[in-house]
Amino acid sequence: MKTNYFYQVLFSLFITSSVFSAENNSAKEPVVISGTKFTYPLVEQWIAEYQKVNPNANIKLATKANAGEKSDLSIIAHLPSQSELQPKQEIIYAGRYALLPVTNNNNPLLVAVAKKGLNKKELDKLFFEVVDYDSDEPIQKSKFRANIYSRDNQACASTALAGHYGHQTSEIRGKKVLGDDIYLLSAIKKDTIGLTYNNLGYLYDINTRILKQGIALLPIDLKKEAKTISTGNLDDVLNVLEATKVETIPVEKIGFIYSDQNTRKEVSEFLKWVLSDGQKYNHAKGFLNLDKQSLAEQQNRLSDRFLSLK
Amino acid sequence: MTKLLLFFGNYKKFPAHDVRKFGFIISFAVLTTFSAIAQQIEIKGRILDENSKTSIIGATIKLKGQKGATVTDANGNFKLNVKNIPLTLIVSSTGYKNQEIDVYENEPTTIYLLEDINLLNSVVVTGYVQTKKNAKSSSITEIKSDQLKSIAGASFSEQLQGQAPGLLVSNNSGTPGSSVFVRLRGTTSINAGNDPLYVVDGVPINGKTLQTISIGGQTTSPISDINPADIESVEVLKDANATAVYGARGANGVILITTKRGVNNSKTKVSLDAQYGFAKAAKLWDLASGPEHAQILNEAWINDGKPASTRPYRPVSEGGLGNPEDQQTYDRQSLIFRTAATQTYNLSVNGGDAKTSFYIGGGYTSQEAIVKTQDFKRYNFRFNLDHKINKQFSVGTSNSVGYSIRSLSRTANSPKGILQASVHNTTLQPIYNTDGSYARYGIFDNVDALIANNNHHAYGLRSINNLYGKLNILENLSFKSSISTDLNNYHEKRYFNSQLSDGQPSGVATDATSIDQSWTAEQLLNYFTTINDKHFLSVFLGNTVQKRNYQQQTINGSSFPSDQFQTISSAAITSATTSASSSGLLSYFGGTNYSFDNKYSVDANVRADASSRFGKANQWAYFPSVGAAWRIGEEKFIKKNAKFINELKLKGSIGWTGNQDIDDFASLGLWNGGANYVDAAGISNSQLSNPDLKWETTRQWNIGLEASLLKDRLSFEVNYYNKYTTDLLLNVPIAGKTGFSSTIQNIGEMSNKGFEFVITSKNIKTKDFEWGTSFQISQNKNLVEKLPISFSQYSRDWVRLQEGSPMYSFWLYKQLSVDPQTGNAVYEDVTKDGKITTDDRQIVGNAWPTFTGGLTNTARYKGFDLSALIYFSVGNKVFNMNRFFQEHGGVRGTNWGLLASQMRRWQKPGDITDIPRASTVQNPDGSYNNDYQSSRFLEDGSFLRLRNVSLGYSIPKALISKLGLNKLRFYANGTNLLTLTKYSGADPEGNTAADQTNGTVQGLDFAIPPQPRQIIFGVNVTF
Repeated sequence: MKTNYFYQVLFSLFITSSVFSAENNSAKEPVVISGTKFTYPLVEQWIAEYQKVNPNANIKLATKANAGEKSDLSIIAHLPSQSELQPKQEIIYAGRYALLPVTNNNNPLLVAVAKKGLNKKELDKLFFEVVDYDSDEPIQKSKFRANIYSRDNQACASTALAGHYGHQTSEIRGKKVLGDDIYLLSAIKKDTIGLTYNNLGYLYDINTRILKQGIALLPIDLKKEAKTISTGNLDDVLNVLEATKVETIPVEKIGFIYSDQNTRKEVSEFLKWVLSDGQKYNHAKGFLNLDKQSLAEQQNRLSDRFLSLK
Repeated sequence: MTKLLLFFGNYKKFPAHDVRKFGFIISFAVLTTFSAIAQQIEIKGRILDENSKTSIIGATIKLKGQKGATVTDANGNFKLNVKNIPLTLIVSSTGYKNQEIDVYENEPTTIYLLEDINLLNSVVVTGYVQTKKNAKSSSITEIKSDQLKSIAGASFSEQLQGQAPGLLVSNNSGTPGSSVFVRLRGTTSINAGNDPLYVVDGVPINGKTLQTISIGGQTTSPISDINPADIESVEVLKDANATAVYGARGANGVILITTKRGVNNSKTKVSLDAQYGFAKAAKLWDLASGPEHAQILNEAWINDGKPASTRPYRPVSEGGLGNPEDQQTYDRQSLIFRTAATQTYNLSVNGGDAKTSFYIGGGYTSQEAIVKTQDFKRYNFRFNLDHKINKQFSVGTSNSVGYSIRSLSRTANSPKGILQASVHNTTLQPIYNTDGSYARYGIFDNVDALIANNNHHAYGLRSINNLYGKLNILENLSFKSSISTDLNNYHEKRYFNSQLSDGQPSGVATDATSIDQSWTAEQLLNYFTTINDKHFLSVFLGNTVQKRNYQQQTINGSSFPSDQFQTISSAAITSATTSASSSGLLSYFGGTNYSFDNKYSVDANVRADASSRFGKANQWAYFPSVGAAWRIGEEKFIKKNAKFINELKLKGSIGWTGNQDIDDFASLGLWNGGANYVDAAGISNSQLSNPDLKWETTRQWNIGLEASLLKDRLSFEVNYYNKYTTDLLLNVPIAGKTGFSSTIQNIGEMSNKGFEFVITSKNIKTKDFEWGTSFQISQNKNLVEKLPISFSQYSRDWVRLQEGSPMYSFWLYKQLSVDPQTGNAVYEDVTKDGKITTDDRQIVGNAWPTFTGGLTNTARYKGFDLSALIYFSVGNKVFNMNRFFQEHGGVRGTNWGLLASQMRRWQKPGDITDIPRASTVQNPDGSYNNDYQSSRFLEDGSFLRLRNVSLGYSIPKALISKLGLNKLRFYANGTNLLTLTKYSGADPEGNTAADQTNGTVQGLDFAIPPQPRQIIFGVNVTF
């Protein structure tokens, strides 16, 4: 019996020491952020700026090299379904992005539709193919010749695009491009009738603020107050989209998924900074700000959630 | 290079010195041995189904514009060595759309493929017929397994109640595994079969019981050999256009059963369903007590004019049996009824890769009946497989083996049976004699003896198999050849030991074996095409050859050495009977369907059948049908002006179907062996020949309207049909001098007319909450149009067949009232001669419901699901034979018990009641008050039943996925929870004469165990 007690005590000590050691380690472990790649330029900027004011902060983005590591924050850029969130997971939104239709700058379509621009119905026909199992109606096809390029169906941009038009991602036509949204531009640059959507941060040179070479925005039917979108620079487009809702342009939020349980203080501090000082870097990287009310809501939610950590 | 990186990526997992040593060696080996491919990049990934997110096995991944390809493994993974990126992959798999993928980065990737929706998906196949979706002109109801699975029952046929308009399903008893009365759009025949044709995975199966030992009028159901858990869907084919292609067996409708199969390119799925529950009678019989019974006997004595001083129940001191109030009450009813346990377990595995799909299912069910001594067990195994050998040729098989074990005892019309011994036996007399032995009264056996000594079992072994090969000659031209068997062995064993009345003096045993075997070979050529997206044409041609063999042998034994020796070889007296017969059916059939612009469609089918059962001059018969449909909703004027209409279709059809369900060799003159004289063998003439015997033919036309409104939120269908059957196959009585009592002839005509209406609504459909309702109602009016003679079915002439009346009509003395002054029953004097004679009997009502229908509600809120089915039957009459025998007013003396309702009898002048005075003598007008075929026992059997309520909860996927589960659902099912009816018996459903050949009797309720109220708890796990 005594021997048994001895082993039990030894085992308890082992467990206790392991727990302490784990806690100590966790204090030193970096905050790892992973998720939708096209947001990385903005997140990298946030991290860099945050670390300037918090030199001890240890935050890093997940890369191929550390792909196996468990992330503390996961970036999401579409409205998640219930099944995508694990129990006790929450989202804090920190910005928005817009998806503009874009093509090769030599696409003859640019001339054909230059005058009026494509409306939402025409864009729908171009980008989506709906097969109704119960209908005998022939599948509606667009009158324009085009090769559609999109990310795989699970990607955030695909989900946001399909959701905006009321479709499933599986209904997006054409070829798939793996890796990152930036490669969609690579694809259409090689294909004169290639069409795709992309976010402003990739479409525009964030230094010169003008559209990248080799591509052209697809003319879309815009109301007077939004006409600047087709001609203006990145800042003009950001301003218009923040001020006006354009039915042909999906605008979706980006956010961080975090676990509501045992959230580290480093994580909550970083999120608070992103929602305050970090917001001024959104435009620089081609992202829209949250509107004031949404931003206040997110800040309040964050405060409520992490009150105990203050 | 990549391999090296991978290796060094795992560097830290190995002890440092080992890694350095082996790392060098392996690096060297890789660099030297594989120097040729050292510059290659390895692309890894996984291919999944877009919808199910399951692995696609055997998908091909090719490099666009370069050499190189690979296929995915059993987990959908692939690896491909390439020289450089970016590149384009082309991913393809059978049944999926090809997908081009541009790869710019070398990282593990997941590619999703979408199922290919091509022309095939817009073509639907029902039985043999291919039509454009929505272009069907036939009246067909499809029932999905989800609609059936929560309803308790050993057989799927009882689960069909209330699911399809026009389908009348009535449970003959509450005993699990017993037969079910099923009629589709009425009854078309008298002496030929009236059951629909059941076809399981293309195999026409025998739906008739093989039971030969009588259990009092109840029969076992061969349909309960099929495990309901294996069923994927049921299609009910109702009009002639749908059934004509089944020709000789289509007159009573066709029920197509499709069992579950694996799906190509799907992950292997294991599903376990376990249920445990209880069943109990919701209502039993309200019996008169011993003192009440004695009181009635005294009253009858006095009312019959006998002296009160000699009444049977007078003080013992006066030489009597004691006053009524001194009598005891002996309850036998509670002895036989119990809370019955039921349990069912089903395990299935299904899945498939690009070429092969499979379904394996095993099941066990054990159901105790609420009547002690009866239970039903079934073991099932199913194996379905489909394999594509290449693009042109595929093979497949469907197999089921079921083994059922029944413990049986006699109920219904069997005085020596357990139910009559319990319910009909008197409450006035004790169960045991004073010496402790079993007490027996009159014709009844002792109830406790029957419970303790029951030894009657039936063992059914059934195998239904189908093997097919299919050749796709051209894209839409296929040839399918199949061979099918339905092999059914049924073995019954019964031993009455010396403790039972029927086992006197020293044991009586019966051992019976029935073997029913059917073989079917079928060839089917199918073609369809579309021209300019406007014209759709399909054609099919087929041939079927069927052969059925039936043999039966019964061995009887009596006088056993003791009850320990029960095998018949131990008996001193033995006898045996054997019989065998066979039949054949040769058929050619074909059909075509054409639709234009998805608006107008016409179709035509024809079948030629030759049956061995008919006379040589009439062996061949031809059954044609035509139909047309007009999708009015597709017309521009509707699309423009009534946008809320999604579908509006008018359809009509007419066709002829046949009935050959009569005895084998029915047209031939037959001689029987066994007519021996002392020890000399002899034969005797057993059947007169009728070379002119021909097919019973049913003409049916149908007109219907289908509509779907408000984005399919609301849909309905209404059909009106008219069936007319000629050349009824009838056993006609003939003069006794011929040496025969009857001969089968084509005489008589019958009609069935009715309408069916179904409306379905999706009331609420949100992400978290869904609620849908379906209501259906149908009516059938049956009439015997021509019948040269009138005759009765069943004993006591209760059920009458006569021209101008429907089948199942009750022929009774119509009781008008009970005379308040005399207490005698007043019957309608039809002949107005002042006397009540047989000539005053008349058709008073029939067992057909005026309406039947069902209301189904299904709802889902997040993980919770709830469904409820209410079934109703309105206007059906039930002859309550329990009342006939147990409101006997003293006629049946002490031994037959009384129902409590007897106490409402007339007692003194001025009493107003429907139950006449207790008396056993004839009334002045020649009638009798009691034990008389009076209409007072004919009751309104209308009922509304909460047939099923099912409540389930599925644990959220997020929680169970960690356990590797796809689905975890807990549920509770309640069956027959509530019945609203004016009927005074235990159950308004039920039929004491279920064994009557071809079900010519309905609505007789006599000592039938009621359908139980049942609660089942279960869990369903899928991973």
